[in-house]
Amino acid sequence: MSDTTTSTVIAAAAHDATKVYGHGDTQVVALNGVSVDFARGQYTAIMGPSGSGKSTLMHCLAGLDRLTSGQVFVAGVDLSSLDEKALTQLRRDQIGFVFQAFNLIPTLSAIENITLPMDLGGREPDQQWVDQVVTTVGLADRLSHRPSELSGGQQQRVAVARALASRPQIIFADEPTGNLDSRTGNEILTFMRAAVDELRQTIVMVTHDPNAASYADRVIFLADGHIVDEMPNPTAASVLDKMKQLGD
Amino acid sequence: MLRVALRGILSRRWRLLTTGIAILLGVAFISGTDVLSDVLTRGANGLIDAAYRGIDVQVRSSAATENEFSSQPVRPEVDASLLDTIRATKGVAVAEGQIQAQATMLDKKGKPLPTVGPPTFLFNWIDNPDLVGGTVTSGRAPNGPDEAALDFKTAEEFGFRVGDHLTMQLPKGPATFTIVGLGGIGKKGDQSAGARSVLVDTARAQQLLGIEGKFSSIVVKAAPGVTQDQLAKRIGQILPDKVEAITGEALIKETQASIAQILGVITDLVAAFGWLAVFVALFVIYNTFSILIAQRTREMALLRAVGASRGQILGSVILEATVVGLVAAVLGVAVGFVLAAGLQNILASFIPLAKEPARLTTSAIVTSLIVGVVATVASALGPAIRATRIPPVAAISETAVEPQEVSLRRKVFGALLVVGGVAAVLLAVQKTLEPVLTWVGAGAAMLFLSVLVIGPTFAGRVTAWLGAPLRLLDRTTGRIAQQNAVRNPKRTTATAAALTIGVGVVAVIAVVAASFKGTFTDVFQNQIRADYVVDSGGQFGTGMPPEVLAAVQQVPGVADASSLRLFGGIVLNSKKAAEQRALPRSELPPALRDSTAPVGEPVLTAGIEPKPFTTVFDLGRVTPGLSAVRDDGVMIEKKLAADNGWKIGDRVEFYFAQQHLQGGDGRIELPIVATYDKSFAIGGDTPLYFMTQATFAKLQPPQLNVDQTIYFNTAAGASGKTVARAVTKAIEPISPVASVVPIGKYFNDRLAPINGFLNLVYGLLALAVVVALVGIWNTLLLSIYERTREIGLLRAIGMERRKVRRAVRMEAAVIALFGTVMGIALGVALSLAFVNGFADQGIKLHLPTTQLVVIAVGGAFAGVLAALWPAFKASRTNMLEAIATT
Ligand SMILES: Nc1ncnc2c1ncn2[C@@H]1O[C@H](COP(=O)(O)OP(=O)(O)OP(=O)(O)O)[C@@H](O)[C@H]1O
Ligand SMILES: [Mg+2]
Repeated sequence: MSDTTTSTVIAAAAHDATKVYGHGDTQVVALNGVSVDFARGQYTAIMGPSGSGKSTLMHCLAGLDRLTSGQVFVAGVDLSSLDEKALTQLRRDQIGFVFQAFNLIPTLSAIENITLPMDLGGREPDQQWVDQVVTTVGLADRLSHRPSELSGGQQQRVAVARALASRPQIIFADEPTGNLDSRTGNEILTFMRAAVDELRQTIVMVTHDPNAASYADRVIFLADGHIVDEMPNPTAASVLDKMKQLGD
Repeated sequence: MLRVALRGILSRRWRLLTTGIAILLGVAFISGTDVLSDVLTRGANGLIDAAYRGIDVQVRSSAATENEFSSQPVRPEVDASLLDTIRATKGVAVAEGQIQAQATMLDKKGKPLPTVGPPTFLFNWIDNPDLVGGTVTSGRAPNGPDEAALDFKTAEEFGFRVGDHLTMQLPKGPATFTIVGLGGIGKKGDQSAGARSVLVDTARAQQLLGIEGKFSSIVVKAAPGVTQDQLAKRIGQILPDKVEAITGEALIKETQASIAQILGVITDLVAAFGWLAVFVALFVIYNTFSILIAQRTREMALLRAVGASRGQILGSVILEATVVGLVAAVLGVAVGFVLAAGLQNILASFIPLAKEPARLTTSAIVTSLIVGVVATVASALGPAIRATRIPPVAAISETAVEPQEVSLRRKVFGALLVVGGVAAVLLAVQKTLEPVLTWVGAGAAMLFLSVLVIGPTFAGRVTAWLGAPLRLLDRTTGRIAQQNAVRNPKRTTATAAALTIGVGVVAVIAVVAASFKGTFTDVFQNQIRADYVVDSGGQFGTGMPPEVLAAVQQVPGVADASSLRLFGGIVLNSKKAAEQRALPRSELPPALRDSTAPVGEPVLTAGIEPKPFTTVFDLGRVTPGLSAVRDDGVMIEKKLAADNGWKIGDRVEFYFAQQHLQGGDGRIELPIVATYDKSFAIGGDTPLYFMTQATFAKLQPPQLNVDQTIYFNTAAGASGKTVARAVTKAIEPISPVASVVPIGKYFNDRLAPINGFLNLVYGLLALAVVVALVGIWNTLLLSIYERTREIGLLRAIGMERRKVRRAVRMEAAVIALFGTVMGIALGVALSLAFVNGFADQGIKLHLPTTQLVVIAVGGAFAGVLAALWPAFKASRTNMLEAIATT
């Protein structure tokens, strides 16, 4: 599926990441000492049963939430050392997001949504790059439309384009195809694959779908806040097997 | 269903709170003024009662006439010889002559007491505790021509003590007294009359006022066993006509009624601002309920799907509104009560009325509850009906928001409101529709409502335009803010429209006031040719004795010195006089209803020396010429003559109470000997009749034979300052109250009280603006609640908290600016109509441009202020909650 050259540059990493919600009786350990690296130019899928801590891990990696203990690095920066403002700027400049839904600001047009992180940072978007991204996503004729005038698949493509446009260190996607039919979903996944292959992006994607995971370079399996397994070069069949194996 | 409704109210209580505040503020004002008016009236009544309690019968002239410049009617004096006749009447225990006249008094530094505030009166001391109505509490009663007693409140305020000297300016010159006693009203002398009172020896008072042999009235105490009615009847039989005997009871009632009327005018004015705030609150409540219902579309649809009827949905919303209105009204009554008590304390330091405790009146409670509930339910009715139209399928549809397109029906309705409003205002200012103020108000209300109705059609464009500068300030945040402001035109318009009302009224007042002030200044500057004015420094009806003018004329370097005397009179054969006579007596002020003076039009008479006066005061062309203005004739403005269809040579029929008193019926006919064509700015729209000072002296009471103002120029080559100083020195001994002021300062001094009043009005208007700001605050909070997801997303992809806050503030600024600009536009349009309505009085439009810009900018900033808390809330949005899928 992809070339096996593993870059030695680490885009993001977690060291002994632990996240505990609540206290006493209601305490939930969502992450329990997770350590993982994400190499630059690698496409990683995170899988695991519901409640296993996938979203929690991603939120902490992306600087949306803070760990209870342990460390998270993005582009070599320890996120726990950053204050709220610096963290926000890091998210804006170094991290891209694609969520399952509600990815776009309804009052802004597609292109405005795409360049929003750069506009917020007062950076001039790299016009050539933006054009390339837009062409790759196939949205050139929809740029002035509002999100409400776009289909669900188109909206997700705009979200992916936004994540790519600012050339972040790493892109996090939480079930980006969860709300889409399989054909549209495949379009998005192909596109993300292309971003890694052609644009040298780093992507971390949470998914429940073995088919989606098969687009990645490797799959990490989470259960009860632990990494329980890892699989390089997954296929839909091998992932399904592994899931059955872990599921019992 | 009831349970669902009540649960809903509980769960939304914080969002409903702000709605409640809007109505609470208005209700508090209305109930507060009611409580205040009650306590002030009781206070005034108590005082009047204390002052007149001991009088059984008062004998006075029955020829009371209205006076433009005083709240009380004027009555001529009665003959002192009546006193002996009355004393000889059976049933009279004591009778004394009473003298009361308005005067000017100096403080310890020799400056006249401020003209704004309680009036100063000179009384004669009557050595009878019942009849004088008060007691000396420290020192002793005045005795002999050089002693005086002073009311304790004035003494306290200006630092006078027993043994100090006190100087007054009186028609026959200044007089200095030694203060021998301080006192007050009532048995204990511890109440203040709300006027400054100086009491002196009777003969001295008569001499200083120039009314030897006369009394203002005669007060009588009955012998034991004789009732007031019996005594009044008995005395009445022996009195000449034009003199009447009135019982003490009736005197108290009459005085109380006229005070109540004055207090009523004041409290009605204050309450009017409360009603305005309620009107603004209607918009805020309407908007809040619209938003709340839009946000609950799914919930309502679900209720409908599981079988709730339309009626039940309607009922639940109405119930919610009723509860909110009721709670707000109850709290409003409480706040209003506290407000009234506070105001009473503040007022007490200005006009010491009486120490009555504030009391919650039934009318305050009833009005508040009705206003609170009715206003809230009425404005929630529209949104409630919309709620019933939510189809059950809305429960499953993805997005169900307020419909944004403006329907044709709405546009037509809006257009009708505009046409109706404009027509009402225009017809009212042309006096086709009466009462003018009611119709102007109704028209303005329709116009404000039309903003709410058709505003959404242009809200998008206007806010885009107004928000443009914000995008220059911060491109992305500015755009997000501006887009948020236009995304829901109906909501934006309703929020802004509330502010439009307050700002609109502020703009009307600003423009109308500027036009009046501007016209006044223009006219003065065009007409007055004098460099200096000698100002009598006193209130109306007081002034400088004629020797002052003579002294001014003697000063070297003075040229063209000339004086003006003014006093009221009644004209009987003008058009307005006929209108006045057509009114039923019951519409007249209480004290005038039984007057034996004929009813006519109150006018001003001005005494001048025609030649010198017109050199310092340009009256335009005088036809046929100044030399025609002779004794026993009047000169009037051309327009006044035209309005009444008079020509030169026609006779004006006057009534002068003074003449009435001196025998005859008081009716005097004076021919019009000349007309002038530049309208004279003193006295507003009260018609002015010029006559020679000799004629004025003959017709008006002797104590009014004083100069109100003296104008003079400095001769060529003389230094203004030196001459002014010399004049000051020359008049000092004869009129210590008078001051020499340069003409520019004189204008400004005239405008100062107007500015003070305007500031008060602006202060009261702030209430309506605050209610609108509460609306902005509320709308933003609700909108932010709606946009939780979006704000969370913005935060996730890198918008700093600072910028989130800025975006909300900018959104508020755009909305507020939209409201303010519409307010100014409407306000200016309305004031155009107003000013046009006054065109026949020569009022010309003056636009206070700077002030209007300040209002606009201030409005935007106030919006930002209202956005501070919502902005903070927005910046604290929980990102993870916001991006959660469920
Ligand atoms: N805010 C929170 N407070 C308390 N517990 C939480 C919170 N968020 C998550 N959890 C708990 O932490 C655990 C991990 O949750 P997380 O959302 O990371 O799971 P997930 O793997 O993303 O599941 P899913 O596949 O359903 O999205 C769960 O047991 C969840 O109940
Ligand atoms: Mg999850």
